[in-house]
Parts: sequence; structure tokens; C-alpha cells
Amino acid sequence: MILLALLAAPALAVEPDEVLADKALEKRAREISAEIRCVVCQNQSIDDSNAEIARDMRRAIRERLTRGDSDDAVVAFLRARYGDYILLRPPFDPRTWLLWLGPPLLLLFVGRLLYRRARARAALVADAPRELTAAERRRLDALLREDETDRQ
Amino acid sequence: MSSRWLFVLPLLMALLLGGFFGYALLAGRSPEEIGSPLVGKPAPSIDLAPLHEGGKRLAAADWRGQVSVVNFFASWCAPCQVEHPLLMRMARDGVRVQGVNYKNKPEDAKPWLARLGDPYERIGVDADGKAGVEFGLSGVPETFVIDRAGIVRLHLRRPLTPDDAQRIRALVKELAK
Repeated sequence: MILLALLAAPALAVEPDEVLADKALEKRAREISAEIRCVVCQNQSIDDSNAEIARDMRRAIRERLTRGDSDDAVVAFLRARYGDYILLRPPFDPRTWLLWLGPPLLLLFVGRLLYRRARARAALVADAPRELTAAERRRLDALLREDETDRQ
Repeated sequence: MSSRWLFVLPLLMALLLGGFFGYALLAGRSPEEIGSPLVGKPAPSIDLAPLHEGGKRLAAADWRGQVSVVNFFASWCAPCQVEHPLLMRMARDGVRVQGVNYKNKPEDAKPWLARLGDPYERIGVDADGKAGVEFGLSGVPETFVIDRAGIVRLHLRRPLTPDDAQRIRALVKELAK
């Protein structure tokens, strides 16, 4: 049962009648559509989505590729009609810099905190009273013994 | 000092994430968020067969020289029926409304129009949704206003409200000057 489930191919939204005969073109089409966000299903790519509009967009992509358009031209065509919304990987611009830089900045901030904490702990260890050396120990024992005899 | 900060961090992160999720839940997402990048750009070139026998084709060339309202509709779309009376009124008031019959069988669309009235000067048939993709459609109904130079001036990704109709009327009047 489990084996069967594992063997089952993932359900594909791309339907057989959409697939291009030209393997190289089909591969490019799949790569483009994996990066295009479906406009009615929010966070699915049109490659994943069974929505009608996603299917229409996949067909438009294939049609343009077959006509000889470059990948960039195809994405530009969709972007001119649906805007940056359609890009699953948003472009780096003033509206999105926080989105892109946020995680590395946060990482840097936390890294700095951890580093400072480690440094502070090391300093504490350095200041802590260290073990007496053998010579010191002997001298201390001698002094204590003297003290003892004085009191007697 | 710095280690005290580290204890507050998880709380801060939880608050931050909670804030994001709360915003996403409460912001009320709508298809209009997609935006309308076509506004200010030339209307896409389409050339569609007419819905009615003997009717004229609906082509991009039709948008030159006159202000047009282009409305994507289908008989299977309930909001289309809701906004329909507004389009009827617009047409009665002399606004040039063009229709794109989106993914709709002619035998379904025709009786629908016969029942509700036909506000469209021309209707082009977009059987496979190709014109829809050209216009950046995300659903039906959607409405565009195209000026005399063929530039898209307004794009509404929603059924028209009376306010929208008012706004379109004013815009058409303004553009026709």
C-alpha cells in the first residue's frame, strides 16, 4: 500500500494535449510556467494549477515559444499583462528589498548577538580565579602551617 | 546585556510572524491586488469572430478614433448577470460598449442576451480564452476603458458597481472631449 503510494506519479496539472512535440521547447515551457504564479490560486505556480486560466497561460507560453520567442520575451509578455504579481520570485526593487534582505540581515543580527555573548563568556572565564600553581600551593601550605604553630 | 536580548528574540520573532499572519488573514485579499499593468499601455491586439451571424468582428482596430468600454462576460458567470443592468443603462446613455464573450458557447450566450438585453455594439467570441490572456484577465467579468488612441485607461477586475458605472461614464465623457 505504502509502496503503491510512493510509486504513484505526482499529479500533473499539465494535460497531455498541451505538451509540445519538441522536447527542448516543452522543457523551456515547463521551466517558465514553474516560475509563474497562478492569478486565481495565490500561491501555486501555473505549472501546478488546474485552474482554467492557468491552463490558458500555459498554452500562451507554449504558443509563443513555438513562434520563436525567447524565455525572457515570454515572461515579459505575461508581466506586461499581470504585473510583478505573477512572478513567484519577485524582482529586487525598492518595494521588495526588505523581503530579499530581511533574512540575511536577521541572520547577521543574531550572529552578532551570539558572537558578543560568546566573547563576554570568554572574558568572564579569563577573569575567574585560576588554580594555584604547585609552588604557590606549597607556599600557602607552609604559611598555614606556620599559622597553626603560632597559635599553639 | 546582550544575552538578555537573546531571550527576548523568540518573543520578538513570534510577534513579527504573528503580525504577518494576522495581516494576511485580515487584509481581505482580492483579485484586484494583481493590479492593472495594462493601464496606460496600448490595448492588446485581438481579432475575434462575431457572436451573432452577420455581426462585425471585434478587432483592436475598432478601438481607434472612439472611446470604448470593453466588457468580458459569459452566461455562466453569475456576477456578469448582476452587473448587466448597469451595462444596459450605459449603452442606453450612448456609451459604446463592446463585449467579449469569454469561454461561452454561442448557443448559451445568445439566449442569455435575449433574456437580459444586449448592451453590446459588437461582441467578439473568445472561445478558448486567448483574448483573455492577451488582456491579462483573471476571471469574468472584467471591464476596460480604452481611449481614442487605443490606450487602456481603466481596468476593473470585478463586477461593476453603480459607483464604477458612474466613474466609467465620467471617464468616457472626459476622454471623448
